[in-house]
Amino acid sequence: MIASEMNYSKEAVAQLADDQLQAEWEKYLAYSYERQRLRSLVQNVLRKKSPQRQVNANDLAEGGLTATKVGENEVLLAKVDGKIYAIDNACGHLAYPLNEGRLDGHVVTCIWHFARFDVRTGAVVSAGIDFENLKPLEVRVFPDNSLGIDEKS
Amino acid sequence: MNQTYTRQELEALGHEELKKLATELEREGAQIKKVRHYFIEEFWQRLKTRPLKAPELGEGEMAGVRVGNTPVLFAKVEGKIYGFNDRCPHKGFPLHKGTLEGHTLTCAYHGGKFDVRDGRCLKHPYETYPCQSFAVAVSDDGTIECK
Repeated sequence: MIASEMNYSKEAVAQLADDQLQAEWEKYLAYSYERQRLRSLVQNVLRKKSPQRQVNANDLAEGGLTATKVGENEVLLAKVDGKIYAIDNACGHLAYPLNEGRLDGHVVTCIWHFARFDVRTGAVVSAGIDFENLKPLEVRVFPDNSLGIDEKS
Repeated sequence: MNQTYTRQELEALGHEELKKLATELEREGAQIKKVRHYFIEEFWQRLKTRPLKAPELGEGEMAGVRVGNTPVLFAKVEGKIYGFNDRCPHKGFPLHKGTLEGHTLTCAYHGGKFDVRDGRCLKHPYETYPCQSFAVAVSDDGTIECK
């Protein structure tokens, strides 16, 4: 059986002897992790390559999420209680876009694997999680409703 | 399909091409996930259905047993036997393939850690769910049973 083709059928798996089942599973794992790394890498590059996108303060509804660009980085904007927060848009798990996720209070949940971050600080919300916190950014709203998004000083 | 790319190669692609590639990889990922279930189901199919006797489970040991259609994990720590659903609450991987250190059970798949005393998730890379615990009793003939 060729793990890299991932064309195991249910029947083929059922026919494996016990030790083969474990060995094939380990091959499967190595392969699935390698493909997951590739998916994440593609997402990472996608976050950098996405087109520039200007967002104004009034484009964002209360409790809403959207993405903008700051230089080559994609930034997530979230409006909670009238205040706009900005953190990296690439999820700290596999770099999927957080703006497609869900916002509950100050917590954004990634729709792919349910990683959660506090939009105020970029901190991972669930306890004991291994991946890194996201970078929070400073948001200023100008009188014409345009946004100034900068590194936190 | 199944082609791999370096970061440099990906950076040379346009945004639309990258989006297309991402979609293809998601489709492939769904197939990979399907295969994972074949393996997990098969691991459970092969669990022993013979009831486990208390003396067969040593201190600090774990054993998976299939009770009807439910894969059950028994773990003995400090003389007390704990019972759980053998499916890791994260991705359903058989917990009996994991490791037990003190009261901490670690899933072999993504490294989720659970406290055997209450099933509480102590640490998980992605999300925290408790493990489903079962009350355990040892019958007069020494069989370990879930209540």
